[in-house]
Amino acid sequence: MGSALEARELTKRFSDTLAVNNLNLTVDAGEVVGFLGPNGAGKSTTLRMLLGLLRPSSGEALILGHPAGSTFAREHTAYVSGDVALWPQLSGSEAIALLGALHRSSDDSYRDTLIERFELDPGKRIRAYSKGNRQKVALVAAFATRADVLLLDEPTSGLDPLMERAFRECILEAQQRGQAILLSSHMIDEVEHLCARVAMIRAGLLVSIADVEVLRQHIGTEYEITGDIGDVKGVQGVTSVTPLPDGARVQISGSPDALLRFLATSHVTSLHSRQASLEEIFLSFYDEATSPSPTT
Amino acid sequence: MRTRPRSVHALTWRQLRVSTLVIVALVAIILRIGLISYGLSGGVVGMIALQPVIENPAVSALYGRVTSLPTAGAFVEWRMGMFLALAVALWAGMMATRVTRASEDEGTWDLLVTSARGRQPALAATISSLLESGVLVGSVTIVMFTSGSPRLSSPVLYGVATMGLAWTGTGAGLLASQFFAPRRSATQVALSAIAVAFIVRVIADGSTRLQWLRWLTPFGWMENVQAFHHSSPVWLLPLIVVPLALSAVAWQMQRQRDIGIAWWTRNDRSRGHEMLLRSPWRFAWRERWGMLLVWTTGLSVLGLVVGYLTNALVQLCRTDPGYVKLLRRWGLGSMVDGRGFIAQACLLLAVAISFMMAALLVSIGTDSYQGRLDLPLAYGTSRLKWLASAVLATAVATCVIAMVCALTMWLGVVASGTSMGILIPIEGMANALTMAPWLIGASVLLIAVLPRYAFLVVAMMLTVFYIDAILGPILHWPGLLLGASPFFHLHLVPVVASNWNATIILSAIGLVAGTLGASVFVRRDVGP
Repeated sequence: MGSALEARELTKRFSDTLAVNNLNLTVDAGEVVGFLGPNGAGKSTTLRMLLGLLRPSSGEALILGHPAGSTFAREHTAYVSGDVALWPQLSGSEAIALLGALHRSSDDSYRDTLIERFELDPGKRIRAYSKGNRQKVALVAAFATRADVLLLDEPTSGLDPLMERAFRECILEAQQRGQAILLSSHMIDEVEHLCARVAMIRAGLLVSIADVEVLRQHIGTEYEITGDIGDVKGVQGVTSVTPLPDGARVQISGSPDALLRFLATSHVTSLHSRQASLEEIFLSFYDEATSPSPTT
Repeated sequence: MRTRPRSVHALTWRQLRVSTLVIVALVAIILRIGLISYGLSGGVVGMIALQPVIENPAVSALYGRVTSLPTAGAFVEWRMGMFLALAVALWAGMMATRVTRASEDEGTWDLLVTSARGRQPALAATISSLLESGVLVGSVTIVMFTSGSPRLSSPVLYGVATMGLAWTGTGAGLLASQFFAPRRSATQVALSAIAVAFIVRVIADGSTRLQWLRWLTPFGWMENVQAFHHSSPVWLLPLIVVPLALSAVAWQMQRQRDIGIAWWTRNDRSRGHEMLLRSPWRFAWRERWGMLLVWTTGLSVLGLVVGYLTNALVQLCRTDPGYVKLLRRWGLGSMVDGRGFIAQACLLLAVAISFMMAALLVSIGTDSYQGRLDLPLAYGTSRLKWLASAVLATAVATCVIAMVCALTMWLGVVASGTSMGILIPIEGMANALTMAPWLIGASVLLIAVLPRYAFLVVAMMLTVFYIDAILGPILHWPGLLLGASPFFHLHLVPVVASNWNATIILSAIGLVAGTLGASVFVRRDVGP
């Protein structure tokens, strides 16, 4: 069976600006893929092309094998934008009812659970809601549809930490139900917690898409070693050594076997290892002005 | 190269400049046309012939009460002044809510008031820009009138009075923005208040016992200035002081309230009526419900007033051959009997109904660039279905409102003591609707290609076409220019039969434009 969501050579040009350039991306059923990138990198443009709101300049976007924006694709997709715009005169419950009716597949009992979970007051009009509460309206509407594909564009902007927890619960439930989720976010902690795979985009170009573990291996592991360890610079896999008063901080990429064999012959009093966080991986990608490093 | 605004004042001007240019141009064109009409009406001699007309209560109710028309300026003030003042006040009211309440709705006001300027200086700078745009409108009035008046004082008085009306609209808009949110509500309240002030003036001028009502309305104060008669500059005082006072109150009120929230916040909860939310077709009605209510009320009242004037005008035609002659010179010879007057009134109402249709339809354009279509279109609705629902709801609503308007017109005719079959206004209004396919097609095309400016363009188009159709034949404009206006092709039904050939051609143009527009709308990018 094909991917739930697929972007093939997706490109969008706004007059002189190349917003997205030959982007390839897949999300399978039951998978949560994080979509990271700095402001203006092309995340929202990509999502809007996957929704059929923007027409690709070239390439194609498919939802369950159907072109994005087609009736089939729309009926199997739900969306949350980072800045929810709705009719100010509608109440929260009316907005949720409208979106549910348009989608034709709203789970009413789950909708009520979501309203409770997100502590949303559905009787208030949209104009009286804070940004966070407008976001909750869109989240409740999206999750209540039980759509096969969820496209979430910075969905937690404006939510407090408690609500972020509720959001993470919903994502995990959706994943367990087999829904495919593409989560665009600035909150790296959130992506690290929820996504096994991450796509990173810079200036419209996908610079990496890989499992978080694979990315960690790309960045490497850091060891803080105390004791008399001698010269480790020449050891296979060591990429950097920072001297410390009573030892050294050693960065390696790939397997630590060679380092451990070398340390076995040294006088080591303590050894601590630390894996790179997603934030460090993210920063390393954007600090590097290098060419893309394709991984799978 | 674009220059960056360096102050709130400059920023506000940037928002106002296009519409200010449009209104200034429109005022200049209309006044120029008025001055040309003076010549065509026979100058001083023609004005003497008009004497019985201006004394007629029905005419006074429409155009204002005057004792004589001694100069070109006096004629233009009488013939065009009241409706021009109304247009200027409505425009100023809309602009005031745009730069204040809309800015608060969008959150841009937050940035301004949290900047070094603070909220009070920011609003003061905004008010200053609005008042300056009123000064511009007044100035163009003075410039246009200097050629039509032997004394400079009269154009200056009239220009200041026009500026006062613009300021009144500004004051109403500013105050409504303090009380109501979002902008749509504030605008509706401000414009309704201006419309009520105008109707009070109509009642005052149409009656001998209620003339004192003129003292209560800015339109009455403007009339009392009598710029081209026995000038009473003292009436400029309320025209200037009251709007400034309203602006000062709005300025003060903003200091005492939360930014982004209006004083009137009672209605921030809803019981959640889901009946009109279950499909794009139902939601098209729900979204337009408020606007429909306002337009239905306004057009019904207008129909009633126009119908009520029938008897007075018919009597005038019977007793005054000079007036009949003048009507013929103006191309309005059919207005000599009740049927002809109603047919002519229906053409006038066709303009109002066209504006209503455009306003109802182009809200899709606004929703599109404000990002409100993103979620509905991402949730399963096709763009075509959304567009078709809006078009159909607008078409059905327009037909119903036109018939309600015909009914109130007939009630007005009957109440005025004239005997007339109900089918006459119904036929007249049905004829007005023959323009609908053309207008719908043009609006759909504009929504697709220029969503942000769709209403502005439609409104300008309708205004130009109406002026073309009304004045073109009198001024002997070329046939090609006349034929370009859809209003020109509307026959005086039921005095003469409908112009089916033109209806078919206009409908075909509408169909082509609509199909093209729908095709672009379906394919283009959606979003802010």
